[in-house]
Formats: sequence, structure tokens, C-alpha cells
Amino acid sequence: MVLLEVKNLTKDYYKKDGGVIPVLSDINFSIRKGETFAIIGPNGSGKTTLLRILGLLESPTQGEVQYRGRDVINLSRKHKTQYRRELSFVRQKPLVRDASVFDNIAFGLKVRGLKLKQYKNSVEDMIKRVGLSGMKNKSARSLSGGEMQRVVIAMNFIITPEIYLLDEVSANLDPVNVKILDNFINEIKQDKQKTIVLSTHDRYEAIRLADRIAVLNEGTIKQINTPSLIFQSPKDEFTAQFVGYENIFGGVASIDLKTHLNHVKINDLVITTSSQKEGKVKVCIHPESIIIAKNAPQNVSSLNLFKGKVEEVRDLGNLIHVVIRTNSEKFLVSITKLSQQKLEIKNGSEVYINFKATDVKIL
Amino acid sequence: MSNEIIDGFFQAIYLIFTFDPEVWSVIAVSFRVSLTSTFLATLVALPIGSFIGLREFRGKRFISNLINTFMGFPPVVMGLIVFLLLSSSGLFGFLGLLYSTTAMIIAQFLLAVPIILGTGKAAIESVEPALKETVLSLGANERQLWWELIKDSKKSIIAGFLVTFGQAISEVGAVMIVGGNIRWSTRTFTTSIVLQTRMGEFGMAIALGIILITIAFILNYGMTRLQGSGK
Amino acid sequence: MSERKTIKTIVSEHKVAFLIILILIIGGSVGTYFIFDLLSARNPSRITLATTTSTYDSGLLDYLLPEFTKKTGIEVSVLSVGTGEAIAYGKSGDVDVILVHSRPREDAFVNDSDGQTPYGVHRACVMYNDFIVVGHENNPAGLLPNDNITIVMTKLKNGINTGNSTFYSRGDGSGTYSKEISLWAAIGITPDIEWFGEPDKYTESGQGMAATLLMTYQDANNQGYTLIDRGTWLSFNDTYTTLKILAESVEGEDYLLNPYGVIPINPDLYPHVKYNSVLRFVGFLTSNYGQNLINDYTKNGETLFHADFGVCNITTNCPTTEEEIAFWTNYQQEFD
Repeated sequence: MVLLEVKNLTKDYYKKDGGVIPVLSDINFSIRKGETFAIIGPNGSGKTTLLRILGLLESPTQGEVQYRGRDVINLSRKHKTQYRRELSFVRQKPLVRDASVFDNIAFGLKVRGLKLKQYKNSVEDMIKRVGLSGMKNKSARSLSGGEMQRVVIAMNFIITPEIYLLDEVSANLDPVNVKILDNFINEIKQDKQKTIVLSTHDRYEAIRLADRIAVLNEGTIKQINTPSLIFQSPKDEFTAQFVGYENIFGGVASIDLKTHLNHVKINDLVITTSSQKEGKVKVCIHPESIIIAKNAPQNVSSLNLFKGKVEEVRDLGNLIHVVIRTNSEKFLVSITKLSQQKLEIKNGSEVYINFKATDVKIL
Repeated sequence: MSNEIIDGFFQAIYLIFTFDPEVWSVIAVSFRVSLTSTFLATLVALPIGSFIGLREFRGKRFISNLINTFMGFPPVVMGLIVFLLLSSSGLFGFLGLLYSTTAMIIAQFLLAVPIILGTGKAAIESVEPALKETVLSLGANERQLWWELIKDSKKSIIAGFLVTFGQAISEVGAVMIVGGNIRWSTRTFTTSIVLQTRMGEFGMAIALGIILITIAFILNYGMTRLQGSGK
Repeated sequence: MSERKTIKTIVSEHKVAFLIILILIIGGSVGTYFIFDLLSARNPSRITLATTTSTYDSGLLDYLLPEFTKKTGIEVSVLSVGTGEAIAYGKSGDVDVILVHSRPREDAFVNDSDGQTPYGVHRACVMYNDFIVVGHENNPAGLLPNDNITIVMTKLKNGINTGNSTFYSRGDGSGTYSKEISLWAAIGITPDIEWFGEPDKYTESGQGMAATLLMTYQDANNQGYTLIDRGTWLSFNDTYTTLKILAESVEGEDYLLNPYGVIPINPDLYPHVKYNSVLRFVGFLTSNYGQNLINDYTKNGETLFHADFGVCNITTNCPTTEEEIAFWTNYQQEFD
């Protein structure tokens, strides 16, 4: 079910001298209910403006934003508030109201008409959860930056809206708070009921969290696709340069109690990694970390050795990208032209690929 | 002259601590008029002014300019207008309000309204836009947003209230015209000082001036402390 | 091709020069003004007179002073204030001469019996005018044309106490106020005790005669009375048509008469006063010429002020001695 749809969205800023700065041009996408949608792009690409328009903090020059099939841009004040109550907008910089920690966290519930009796317990649970126990009566503005971030996380996640809009939230977070935020996000993702739209310039964050990624540059969407497709076969030069190449797989990791090795099962494939993370994970292997051999190599240190078949050879000039299928998965491997010639790699070639367990990144 | 100032100082202390009824009448009238008018103006103008600051609408700039113009309205002219309205041949002459504290409150109220409108508007507009957006994103409706912004800009609002009160209590032209400087009834600090000076009673005039300044200082100091503790 | 330069470009090319010219113009004009001010303060051909609003508002000074200037070349700046303030200016040496109407305070002003240097010297009687009581024509206190002043004041007191009359008092230490207090005293009343803290009965405006008359006129219950000098009243009687003269001086009674005295400030106390010019000014006022001018001054056909220099009678309570008259004769000769 499509929850949020953006149609032909354009945003221009007008300079005092009458000049026009296009910030967003002709943006189109739709987000399904329960999906995590990442907008990735460099600074100044328009990510924040796009999220602000979705949050009705700014209005577009042209175009529509539809929520459940209804345009929200031209709603009355009252209905705009109703729409905003379906969302939570976590901004880059933590900002709290001039009130106590408790009042700040309770605010979203209070404005939705809940009584103290109704929200007291959940607010107190939330305070505990973000590790601010004992600070509930402290003035939020007197807290440290890190504590303030937690208040901001808490006050935005307590309202359990339909859509979470997260604007580069982890960019300024300290590691403890990243973990707290991740917990919230993972919980929401597990539920598959709530929708997350996040912007980031960190590709690993996008890979780790997103079901789909939109690549935004200079106000236009270059590409929208799943992380593995985007990173393995970027459709345009900007995406290739900005997000880079990456082999991404989703799987389940479990540690072998005898060998203490961590095996990630990806459909028919099992990859060994040195990471100790278990459970549902995403696996990243950089194309340059993979070695191609014509014959099964002997006595290699790498634990991951697979046989595969070349499906595609892309000539990038000085570099060659080779797509190799092993069992159910496809690997992108980056080699030099010289190697390609030496190994005589072409479509249909049967090759072996291997990579070290330490080169397997688990997200 | 310096002797007169020193004498005036001692006379001020003497007048206050002997509870001189005339001085206390002047203090009471001044405060009743200035406080009532400022409070009423705040009650009426703060919601309107802050609302103007809150919303974007057509003609907002025109209204802002209008408010700014009226903020500098000459008090004497306001006194004249209120006088003409309340005089026995005026539109509201039948009320018999001329030369009463009510008349003074009306004039001071009309002078205070544009100032409070302006400060209320400016206070709301000076709130960090990010706070406004945060509060909106958390689901606040316009009324809730308004209240949050008022709370956040309470310092500017208190400051605006103080400025208005200070202007009211030190204003002389309008209260003289519509109040009439009647002893025991509408005589304020300022009109009393005018009278004492004209009578050549410089000591008494200085005494009243010193009391007025002292009250202003105490008030400002108290408010500053209050604001400081709110941080 | 000749380029025509706009003023703007000329100015911007010679910024410094224009700045200097601008400073010179502003500085020069301010400085000139300042120097002029200083010179005129020291200029013996300009004296400053502090007087009561009644002499000024009645137009008498506008009529008299040009004659004096014509004769002597001396100009007179007038500070028109209450008697109290006029005397205060005299005491502080801020003016050269005062023309006021409050005999007890005038006497105190020139009193040297306590060994102190007196503030003023050679007080001279100039003229008197009369006071009247005006009020709303329905006259709730029931004043009658031939009531003598004692009856008038008693009726007013009773009216005030029964709540059907309100008396509007100057309450400002002016000569008019002093006179009013003395009238109440004549029936044994001190208003400040009788109606203490009762502004609805006895309203002290603390303002000038015009403002007090306006308040009387605006009385919400049409029951206001006030004491006013005839000269000021004649300036307003056409405006305040609901107010009428309800009591005035009756034959053989002088309570309502109001003598004016002129006093030069003592040069021994304030050497900077322009004593010599002031002596000529007083000489002018008390000369036959000046006295005739005063008697001839009318408004709406009525004489406002009656000259009384050297006329010693009960009205003016004029103690002018032969010596005093002889002193001023020297200065009157210039005008007679």
C-alpha cells in the first residue's frame, strides 16, 4: 500500500535580486507503508528541504505530496495539524523546549490531548529507556549535548506516529546515542507497521537501515532502488562516484561454537566473517577485496572461496567490473585490465572468487 | 540647586516614612492608572500582537507599519482625543468620565496598545524558527504553538510590559489633560511634579522625582532578577 | 563630448570637501545661535519678567510692553507662570523682575528685618483687578447678586456640604489660590481641613486658571463653581456659555480686589541682574504715562486693571511711603 507519494515536486528559492535557486526539481517517488526509505546525497543536494516539505515545514513551489492518496500541501490549518500528528520529524540539531525533561518528552502526547494520568507511565518508561532516569525534573536546556539528543530522540519516538522523518539524525550523535537510536529504529522496522523516511550522507547507514534508497544530487533524484542494486550496479556516474560500489547481501549470522567463526547464511551461500554480530545482518564486501582465480586456489588463507560464472564484464577504462554469479547471489568484482587479459575473463567464464573473513563488513 | 537636591532627598525619605497621605495618594493613583492600563493593554494586545507575529498573511507588512507608527503616537495628542471624546459635549460625555482615573486609564491604555502589539509581535518573531518547527512537528496545533512561543519569549514580553509601564508612569501630557491633576483623585507623580515646580516647591518636586526613580529602579531590578532565575 | 555631472557624482568625487562644508555650516549655525544666546543674556536691552498668567493671558502685557520697548529700546521677555513659581524664579535670581499678586508673599520677598539680604527691593504698587465667582447658570448654591462675600462663601460651603455644589480650586499656590484661601478663612474655614481628601466636593486642579475654568465648565453635574480674575474670565466667557458670573464685588467691599506689585530683584544678592533696566521698567509702569495706559486697557468694553501707584487705601493696602514714591519719581520722569 502506498502511504506517501511525491509527484512532480519542485522547490525554488528566490533571491532578493529576483534570481532563482532551484533546490528540488521534478521529484517523484512513492513510499509504501512499513518501508524504510533512505534519501542519500551530498550536502546541499536538497535532502533536508525534501524532508521539510514532507513534514509541511516548507511548501513546495510546485507539485504534490499525497498521504494515503490525499494531497496535504493545500490542506487547511486544522488538517495540516492532523497530518503532522501522523509524523515525527527528528531534525539534525537537537532542540528542546525550555521545560523539564519530563515535559519535553511528554509534549507530543500532551498536544494530542492526552491527560497526565494517561501518559505519565509511558513517559517515565521512555526516560528510563533513553538512560535519563533521575533527570526527569531537570531543565532540558541545562543538559549536556548528548543528554539533550536523547531527550530529542525520546520525545520524537514516544508519539509512535505513522511516519518517522529522520533528517541526518545520526550525523551528530555520539556512539551511545547512535545505539539508542538504532534500537528504536530496529524496533520500528521489526514491526513493519510504521514507515521511516531518512536522509543521510553516510552510505553504510543507508545500507544498514534502508529497504530502498533514493540518490539525490543537485535537487534531482538520480536513482531509486534497493541498496544492493544501487551499490552493485549504479545506473549513473554520479551514483557510482558518490555512493561507490559495494556487494550487499542480507542474511542471518550465527557463531559456530566450536570454531568461533561467524557464518552468515545468504540463501544458498554461507559467508564467513570475523565480525561477532549475530542475527539478521547485512553483509558488505568491497569489490576490490575480492580476488578472482582461474582455478581453485590451493592453501589460501581466505575462508571464503566460491565457484562462479561470469555474467557481465563492464569496461570502466582503467578498471574492469566483473559480475559473477555464485549459487543464488551475484558478486561485483573490481580488477585491472591487465588481470582481465591475463585471466581471459569474458561472459560465461568459470572462475573462483575468494575474500578474507576480515574483509567482510557486517552491518 | 545642589542643596535642593540633597534637601529633596531627605524630604523624600521623610515623606515616605511619615506616610504622608498626599504622597501616598499620588503613589496609589500613579500605580493604579499605570498598572491597570498596562495590564488591560497586555490582555487585549498581547494575543493579537503575538498572533500577527505567528501567522503570515496578506497585508501583514501594512499592519506592522501601522503598529510601528502608532507606537510613536504623541501622548498629548492621545490625551486631546480622549478629552474630546469624554468632554461633556463629546461622544461619550454622558458617561461623566472626564477628570477621573478611568479617563486616564483609557488614554494610557490606548497609548499602550500599539506598544504591546509591537512587542508581542516582535517577541514571537524573534523566537528561533527551529523551535517553532520542532513544536509544530511534535503535533502542536496553532493554539498550542502560540502558547509555546509565548512561553519561550516571556522575557521579551516582560521587557515589553516594563517598557510600557515605565512609559505610562512617567507620562505627563495625556494624564494632565484627561485627569486634570486633581488632588486626592487624579494627581500622579508627573503632574504633581509639574505642579510643585510651578509653585516653586522644588524640594517636594525633587522628593517626588526621587520616589518615582526609586520605584522604577526597584521594579526593574526585581524583574531582572525574576528573568535571571527563569533561565 | 561634454559629460554633464549630476550632483550625486560631484558630491561623491569631493566627499571630504563636502563633509567639511557641512560641518562648517552646522557648526557655524549652532555656534552663532549659541553666541547670540549668550550675548542676549548679558544684553542690558533685554530683561526677563516673571509674572502671573492673569496679566499675560489678559493681553495686558502684549499691550504695555511694546510701548516700553518703543520708549527705551529695552525688550522684555515674559515668563508667564503662577505667583508661587514667579516668586521662586525671583528668589533664585533667574529673572530680573517679578510682577505678582500675593501681598503677604511680596512683603516677605522684600523683608530685611531678619538681617538677611532681601530677594527684592523697592516694591511698588502697580494696579489691581477684581475676582469674581463663576458657576453653572442653574446656580445650585443659590448665590444672589447682592450677597456680600461672607454670604457667598457661606452659601458655597453649605452647597458643597449638601453635595449640590462642587468648588474648583487652583490649588497651585498662585495668587488666585491665595486669595481663595483668604476668602474661606474669612468664614473660618480651611478647605484642606474641611474637605480633606474629598476631591468630589472640593476639587484642586493644581493647574492654571484656564484649565481650572475648563474643569468647572466640564463638571458632570453642572454644579461647579470657581474663583477667577475678571481678565481671564473675559477671555473665556464667550466659549463657556453655560457659566455665568454669580458673585462679584459689592459696593463698599474690597475682599475680591486683587492688587499687583512689581519688585526688582536685589542686585546685592544677584549682581548679574539688569537692575538699571529694571528700574526704568518699573518707572515706566508707575509713571503717569504707564498708569494711564493700564487704565485705558479694555476688553469687550470692560476695564480689566485699575492703576493704583501711590494710591494708598484699604484696597491696595499700600504702604508706599513718601520716600518710596520719591524713589520712583526719578525713574518716572523719563516717561512723563
